[in-house]
Amino acid sequence: MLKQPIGSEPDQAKYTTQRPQLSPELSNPEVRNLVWGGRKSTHVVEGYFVCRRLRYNSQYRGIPAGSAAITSLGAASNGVIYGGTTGEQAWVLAFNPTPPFDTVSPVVELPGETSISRSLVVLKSGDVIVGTRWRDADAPKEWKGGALYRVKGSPFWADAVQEWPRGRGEFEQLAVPVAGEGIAALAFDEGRRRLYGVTDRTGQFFYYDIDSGKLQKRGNVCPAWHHSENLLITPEGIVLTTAIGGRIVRFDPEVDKLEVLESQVPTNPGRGVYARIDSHVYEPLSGLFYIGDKADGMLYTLDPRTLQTRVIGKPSDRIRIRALAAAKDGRIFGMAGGDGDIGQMFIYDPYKAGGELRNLGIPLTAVEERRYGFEYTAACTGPQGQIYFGENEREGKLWIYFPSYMSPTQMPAKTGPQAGEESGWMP
Amino acid sequence: MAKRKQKKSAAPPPAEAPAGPDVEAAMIVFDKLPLSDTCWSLLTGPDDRFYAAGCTEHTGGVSAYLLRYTPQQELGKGKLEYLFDIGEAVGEPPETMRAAQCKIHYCMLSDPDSGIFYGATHLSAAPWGDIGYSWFGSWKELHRSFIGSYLFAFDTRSDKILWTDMCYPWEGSRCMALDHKRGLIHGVAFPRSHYFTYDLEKRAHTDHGRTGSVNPQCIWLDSKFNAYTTDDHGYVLRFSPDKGKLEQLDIRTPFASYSDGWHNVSYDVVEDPNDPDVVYGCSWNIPSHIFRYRMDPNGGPGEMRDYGPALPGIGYKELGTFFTDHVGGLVFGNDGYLYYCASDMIREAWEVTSDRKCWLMRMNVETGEKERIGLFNFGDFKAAYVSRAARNKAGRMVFADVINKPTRLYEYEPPVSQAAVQPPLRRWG
Repeated sequence: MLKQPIGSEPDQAKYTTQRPQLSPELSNPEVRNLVWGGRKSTHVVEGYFVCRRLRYNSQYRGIPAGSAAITSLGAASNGVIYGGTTGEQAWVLAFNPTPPFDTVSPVVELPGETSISRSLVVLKSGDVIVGTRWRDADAPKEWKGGALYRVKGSPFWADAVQEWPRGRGEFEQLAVPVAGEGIAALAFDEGRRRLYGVTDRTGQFFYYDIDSGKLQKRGNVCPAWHHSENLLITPEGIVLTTAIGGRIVRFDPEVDKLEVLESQVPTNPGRGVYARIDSHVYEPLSGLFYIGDKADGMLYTLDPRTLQTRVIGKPSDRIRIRALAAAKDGRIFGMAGGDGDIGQMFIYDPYKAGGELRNLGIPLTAVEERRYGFEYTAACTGPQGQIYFGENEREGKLWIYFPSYMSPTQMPAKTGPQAGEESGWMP
Repeated sequence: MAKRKQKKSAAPPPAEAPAGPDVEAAMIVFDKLPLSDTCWSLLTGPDDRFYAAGCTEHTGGVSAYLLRYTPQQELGKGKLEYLFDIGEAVGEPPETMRAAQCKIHYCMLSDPDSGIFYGATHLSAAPWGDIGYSWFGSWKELHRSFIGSYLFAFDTRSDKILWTDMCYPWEGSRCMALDHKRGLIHGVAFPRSHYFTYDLEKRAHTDHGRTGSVNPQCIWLDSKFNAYTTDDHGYVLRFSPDKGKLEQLDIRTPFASYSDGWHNVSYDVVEDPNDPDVVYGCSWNIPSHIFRYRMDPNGGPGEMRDYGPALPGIGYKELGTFFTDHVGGLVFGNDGYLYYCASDMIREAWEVTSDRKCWLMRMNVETGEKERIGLFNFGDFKAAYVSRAARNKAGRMVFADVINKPTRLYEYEPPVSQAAVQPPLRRWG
């Protein structure tokens, strides 16, 4: 505590003889610029960010601050990006990147709901299915539990440049899969037109057939309720997640069985107790899932055919990776950082020798807001290759990232399992 | 309630004057803090004395120091006391090798009921021995990062530190207001610009989310202790302690027509001497406009009046910066005028001392008429930038200097003998 009585004169030695010896060159403005000029490297300088406010234009109010944390994202085949928010009210929003729009339209707000987290899928029809949960541990008694909603409508109409109004959507509640529990994650099997979900508290696994409206439950993913809040769906329609100890859990729709396997996801020594999947993306060129781990913020791959994993590395000192997306060329972009962090963006480039994992820095944009980016919990890739990040903040924005071009020597060889065609990437 | 009388000065210089007389003021240098370079906080204490923070931003590993100034009859002859090293007081001295508890920004608070004076620390300076501090790059590094903003409670009646606590982790506190009736401190943190409240009884903070990317520099209160600040675009944000909710109001602080209102965050705000639901303020923008904001404690957006640029007659200034055209140090004088300081300089490097001009201004809040009283010049020394001002019951004013080593205060007294107004004790930093 205090070395001197209150009110006595400061010890001058602290300001003179006891000072560290620093070079006088530090007062040279050119030298100082070497220190402060380096600030530009703090932020992402590879690729380019813009962001969009969550409102159509200044004629309308946007999604209000306090309800604007974007916690789910999904891309429609026509390029429209849909998002779900968390806050006082859960909203579904849509961003249309094409002229004459290039704007966000708030589609619907879901009365009595506070969070759509990792639980938004876009059907081929353009309808959106979202699952809800309560945003914190204090759900009111009157809340019945997380529900599935179908959202439809035309949020974009005519032209966003002149006087025409914006469109609105509508919603219907489909089901409350498990009373009193929220929906922690959804995945969609387009071939079977089946929606898979897992609940937040006890990890109950369910599926919902879109056409029949039939809901089935298949028990807990993990008897210890230590499940991942991510559902990975393979191109064959197999669903994967994890249980306690990082054990992989598989649901095979052909046998209609949920099973805990011997295989485990990777963790650092002594960290298995924390092992969960924090984020994931399926990358079609390689046929691999890229996974962000919740224990230490590691990035690893999971081969859905063999269930083999490979640790790529840890892109940042942050201990979580909450958002991942795959570029059309197979590069992986992600955001490391947890609640209350200043997040950091990273890239994994599989085409550099041995693969290269690099920290790109802290996001920043000056279009349409001058804004630092700190927290993101959702990401997806648009049909033209833009990568969307959902900002998880009180007054969140939709961030759009344009990756830098790869040089011709970097471009991927067409040797992967689904090289080229599915991704739309053409040399 | 005292009726406001406003007397004109004998011969104020014209608003467009390129230079002016020196203000009859005194300079109080913190010469026992030779490395100090800024005084970001200055507030009248519950004991009617002035409290100031001697801050050291540009030398690493030096803690802020709390000082107290008690005026005497003659300007500049008051008693300057060096109270304590704040880093030592909160248990986070530079020897920790973490980013220094180097300043108190607009986070000094006076509790008129208890006599307690609060202060909360802020960041920017390097750790001891380092050449700089990257608050974005050094995030949650236990061995190097700024560990958090510490709050201290100093009893002005006994001159004792009652307690200290970390009021916001990993970040500094930019500005604060005190709801002494509820025992609640409102704050905004840096660098993530989150609004938070700190419960003095529970000794715990609650985070209410982000306001934007540009820190507002002031939080103020209405008669019901609703708290107000602004977002990046000057929209007024209100925090209702009863609802526990931060909401944006459909009203903005004024700005120049050529601007879109970005960076129009509140900079300094003072309470109307006669109406606790009216404040006068300026924005952190170029040019900074003076405004009057009548709040609606019942939830409406209130009413905003634009008094125009704080320094009239300048126009659009291509070379203006937030430093050269700074406005701050708002305070009501005994004469009912609103006093403030306005810098008017040519673009220059941060530490270059040429062409320094810091005007002491006053404004008739009824008519909006603004006058240049003079410059804070003391021989060859020319002040550049004033952050805050304070006054005591007798009407003596002090102004806090920024960017001189050592840092200092300027003491001034308006030329009236009888108080026409008696402003309340300022409830925010």
